[in-house]
Amino acid sequence: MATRPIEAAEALRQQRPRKIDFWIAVAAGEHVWADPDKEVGIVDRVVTVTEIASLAVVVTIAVVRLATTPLDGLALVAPWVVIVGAALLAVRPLRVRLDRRRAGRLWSSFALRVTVVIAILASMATAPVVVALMSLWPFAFALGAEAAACAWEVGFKIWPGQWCRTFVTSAFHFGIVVASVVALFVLGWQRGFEVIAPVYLGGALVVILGSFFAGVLDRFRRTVLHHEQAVVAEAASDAHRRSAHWLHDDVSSALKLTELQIRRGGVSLESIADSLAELDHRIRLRQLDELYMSGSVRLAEVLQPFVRNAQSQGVAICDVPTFDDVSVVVDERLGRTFGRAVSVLTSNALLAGATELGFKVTSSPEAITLQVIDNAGGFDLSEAPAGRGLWQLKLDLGAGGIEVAPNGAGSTVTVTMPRDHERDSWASEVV
Amino acid sequence: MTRVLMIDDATALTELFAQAIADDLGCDVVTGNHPDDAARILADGGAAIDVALVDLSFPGYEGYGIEALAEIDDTSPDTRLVIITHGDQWVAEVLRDAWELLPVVTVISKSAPLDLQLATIRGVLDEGTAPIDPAIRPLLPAERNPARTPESFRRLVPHAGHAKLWAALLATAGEVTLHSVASTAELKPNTIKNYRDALYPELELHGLVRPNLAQMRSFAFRCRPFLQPHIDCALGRSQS
Repeated sequence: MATRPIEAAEALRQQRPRKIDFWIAVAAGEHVWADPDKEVGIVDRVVTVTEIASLAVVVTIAVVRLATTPLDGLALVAPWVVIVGAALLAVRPLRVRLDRRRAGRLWSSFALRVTVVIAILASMATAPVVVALMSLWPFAFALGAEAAACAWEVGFKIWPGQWCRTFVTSAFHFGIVVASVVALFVLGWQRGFEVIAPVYLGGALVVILGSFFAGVLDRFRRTVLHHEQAVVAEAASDAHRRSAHWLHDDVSSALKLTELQIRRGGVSLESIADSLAELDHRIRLRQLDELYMSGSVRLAEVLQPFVRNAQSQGVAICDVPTFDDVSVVVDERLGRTFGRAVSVLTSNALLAGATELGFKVTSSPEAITLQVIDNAGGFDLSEAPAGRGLWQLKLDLGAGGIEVAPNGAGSTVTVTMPRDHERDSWASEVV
Repeated sequence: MTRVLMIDDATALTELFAQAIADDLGCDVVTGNHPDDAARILADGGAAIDVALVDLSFPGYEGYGIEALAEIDDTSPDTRLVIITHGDQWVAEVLRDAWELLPVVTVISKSAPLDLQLATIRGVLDEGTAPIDPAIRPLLPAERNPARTPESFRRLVPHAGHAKLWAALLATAGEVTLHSVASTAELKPNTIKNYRDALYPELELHGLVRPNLAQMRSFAFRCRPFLQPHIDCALGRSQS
């Protein structure tokens, strides 16, 4: 018990980043740390939209000032600096929003962004106080959103109060103070103070408001994550209940039936082994169903239970694709179609007395092609009984979707399934 | 007498399977139920192990059977290595790693008919190799990548900084972020990022295309037997 406060303090210390790392990391921006191919989530979308909207407000104020106030000299340049700077800062959130992330380099990004922020602050300082304050708060919100996104990516905790304190005592802030003092000497005390003080105070206000807004966004993110976790937990709980029900209803019943058959006698060991093999296959199909429901599945996983079932029925597997052919990840719809095709064609061959089976799979950007080769004597597809699996499969796949060719001892059935690229790419991201 | 080693956590199934091997193939079968048992059994002495059948997944253990396979290959290079697995998606990646990095002669499916399993072991005893179970074949590439060898792991740890990164990944519990790994490694986040970026071309050889830190950790755990010696060596070198 006595060690708890010490442990807690140590834990806090561990979570607290070193000041210089923290401010350089945050100033460099989220795009330096994030994986460019990372999926854009709901929080990213909200944060980027907020940031773009805030920068849009900053730009609007600058444009209104340009349009309504007669300006010349440096005063005319300042709004343009704000507009261009805000546009540069909007590039990252726009890229994220459009799902076009690009990795950034630490030092070049750090230098560019710090320069842009200081230039914008300096430009704002040339405007009347009311206009500057009106521009400052949306600008601070935009920077707060940037800082929050960056902190989440690197793994820094967002503590607005502590952020402000670490800023004051950071080398980054010390550098700004030194630069300000140098500027005072260069410009002279009177003129220097008039220029530096508004910029410095504006910067301080930006840090305070930005930290506060980052805290608000962090709270929002935690709420969203909590909600998402609750939804996932509910879905998982539902899945567990379904599995438990299925285990009880299906597996337990099948095992009970086998037990009763053994107790009553008169059932051969071979028959019991067959029942257990059948149950094993049903469990594997159920396992496959779970994989379908996860939203994406690899073709290798779909093929596996049917190869095993054929094996357990004493059929020799003469050909089977390798990982290079069946590593393709497809969505639930195509996975189920592929699974049904393998199931129907394998059952068809087994019922026709096949003793050898072969599977070939090829994939192109347009379609997945499955070939099932058997030695069961061959058949005519047009004579498939209506309402049966093969008939239904032929109907679902449409003209040219399924073709049968004799191969001497039996037949080679070729099934072509068109791919849906948008769904497949989503599925591969899930896996 | 031919001696077979079986390492699998399913104790009852292992005993029954060991009995079947002993009865049908006339072998002396030694069993273990944890990857660490391989080293213990090999250290116990006795006759050499001719064939080792090793499972890949051990519930409750953070490593994989690949550690036992690597240990056997290192201690007893003449032993023929065979993987026995359910071959589901859970072990698919470590199965490919073991297949490419170790001289595994075949893979047996746990759910294949007993006759087929025994025929495969007989093939290994007689011919030194046997066809891979057709139900497992779709999980393995047609050809082993010749560039992917245990020696290639040296290039994943070019110096002590990278060793710190890998060691931190293996030691980081919970969520893996740049900051958590940086704290564990006692390096700056941008240093971690630079180290990771520098490894991208080499990681692609191992099937990892621009992996994130969590994917790198998963890879490090799967391939720990090949990575750990280089980590230890680089860290030892930096300390000395």
